[in-house]
Amino acid sequence: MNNKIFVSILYSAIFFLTFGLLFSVSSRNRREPVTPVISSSRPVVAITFDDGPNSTFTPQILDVLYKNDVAATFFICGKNISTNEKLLNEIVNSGHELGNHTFTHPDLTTLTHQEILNEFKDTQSKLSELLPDYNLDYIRPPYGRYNEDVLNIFGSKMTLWEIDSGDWEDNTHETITDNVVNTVKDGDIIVFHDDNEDTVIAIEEIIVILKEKGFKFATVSQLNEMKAD
Amino acid sequence: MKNKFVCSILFGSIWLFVSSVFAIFWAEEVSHYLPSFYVWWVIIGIALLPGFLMSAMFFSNLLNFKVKKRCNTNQNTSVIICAFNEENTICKTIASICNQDYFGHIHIIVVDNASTDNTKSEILKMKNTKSLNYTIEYVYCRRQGKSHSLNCGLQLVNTEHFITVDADTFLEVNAVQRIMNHIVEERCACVAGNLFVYNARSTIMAKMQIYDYLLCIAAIKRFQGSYKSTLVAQGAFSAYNTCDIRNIGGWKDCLGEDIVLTYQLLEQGKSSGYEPSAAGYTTVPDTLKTFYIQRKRWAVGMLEGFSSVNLFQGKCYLKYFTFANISIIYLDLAIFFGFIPGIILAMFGYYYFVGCLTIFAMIISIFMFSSVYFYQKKLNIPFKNSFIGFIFFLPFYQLIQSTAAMQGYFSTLLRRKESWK
Repeated sequence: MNNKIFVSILYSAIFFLTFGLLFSVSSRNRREPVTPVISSSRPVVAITFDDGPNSTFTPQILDVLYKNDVAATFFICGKNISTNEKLLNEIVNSGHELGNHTFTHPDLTTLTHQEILNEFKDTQSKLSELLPDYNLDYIRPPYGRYNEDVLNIFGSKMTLWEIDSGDWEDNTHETITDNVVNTVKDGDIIVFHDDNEDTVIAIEEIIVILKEKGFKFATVSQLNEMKAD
Repeated sequence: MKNKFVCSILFGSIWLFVSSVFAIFWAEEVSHYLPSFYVWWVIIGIALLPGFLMSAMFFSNLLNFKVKKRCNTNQNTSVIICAFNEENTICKTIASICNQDYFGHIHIIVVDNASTDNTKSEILKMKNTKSLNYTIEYVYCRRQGKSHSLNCGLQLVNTEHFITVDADTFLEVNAVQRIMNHIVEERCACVAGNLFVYNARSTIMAKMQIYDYLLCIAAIKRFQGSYKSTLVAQGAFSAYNTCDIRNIGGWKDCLGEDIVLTYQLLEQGKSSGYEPSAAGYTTVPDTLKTFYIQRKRWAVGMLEGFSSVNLFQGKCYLKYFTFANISIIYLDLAIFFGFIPGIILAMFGYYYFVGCLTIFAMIISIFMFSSVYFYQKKLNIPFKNSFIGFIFFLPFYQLIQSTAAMQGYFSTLLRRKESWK
């Protein structure tokens, strides 16, 4: 075979393969956003995830949420932004919400006023480099620990939770599911962590059970709007 | 020798284990975006397998860093030079052998392979020079082909060992002494010499090859040679045991005649060494086209060798080196269908195959190349460097070489006889 013909065929094959791969990997970002239907007559809960994004588990959680048409809120740490830019775009494009969970995940009660401010500011600025128009309206203190200072700075922007799934305690997915479905009620905010396999399994189980019980799912801001109404 | 080999493979295995642990997470992550089978195929091809092969080679070469001093032999020897239209270089090649600092007598057999230029008159000009240290014999071989002319020269050899030198390869003044010392002392069937680029100043293509010969080929041969299992005693400059070569019937008529010959010797349980201190300077292809043709021929030669000889029956060293050589086909495929797409994906922000781990692998390569470079420096053999050559070598060389090799594999697969000129 002529050298030039062989080289043309080989590099064309590489081109088509690369094009296919690019199409495949970018298809996640082209998904239709989730469209939660919220009515005041049905109980509503907000699913939230802390400490992400995590390049291994967040995509799996996004797949579960996409499959079940459920919107959620991701409280992200600033330190994880630069290594997960595509993932953050995917979260936002999929119709989910982002919240601020500090930059380095410290215990805020041990920090000075300025250090607390910097933790949240740094995360917002880092995210603004990627998504310039996106404001992290809600903040969540790591470990749920806060003091007067934190409360004074953030006031109503601070979002904690009603139900702790307990997925940070190395619980099995069965325990995590039980922790949530046995205590959940209308208007609850549930906290998970998108950094482990059990959460991925549990979240699918929980969504199925809660849907059967008639629950709807909202982001934190949607839930707050409903509560305000 | 065995302990060093075991240690090197162990080192490579530890490396493989550690990188596999990282790779599990890596593959798991990327598998959310791309098919799992493809992800593993790429990761093995661009990270795990090359990492294992390179780390084992790196460690073995470190263990064998010391240059072995050998007793000088005064055994008479023969040098076969095959020439086809080499009027420009043949005199210089013969002169480099005539000027050898060798304790024994050298009988130079120059085989004119039906040249149509002034090769014959140039050889005869050199034949008229008289010395006690060497004699020159002119032979005409009508049947064209490298193997035929080598076999023609072999018939005239009447020494226990002989050396082959290409008509465009020039030997260092003590190269014959050193390669003879090795083959006599170690009783090998063949010993490969250390080749450097002669025309290192001609073109970018030639400049790039400085580093292939200096760093890659030398490192692989040193690794294999440490266990007397050098897979290719290249025809450009190698020494042979006459009896062993005659017993296997000389060179076969094929594209990679030197590759097949070495494989045949190894299959028979003979040993094949490498002498880094015996240096020669060879004229390398200086255009993209000629380089491409050469590397395509090497790829076909390798497959010809493996299809005609079963090296997996040999010693454990040989099994390993055969496995390593065959795995090059996989690595070439992984470059095209894994690494190149990976780079393009990274340009679009998808760092799935090219990221931090790639940089880590590059650092390891730098360590390995540096150790080979310092070893070559330690040999006190003068060689040329080229900054531009090195800069071009890093991103482009492997790509061109692998493209040529792929065509070689492909044409062998289709059992097509290629036209090489």
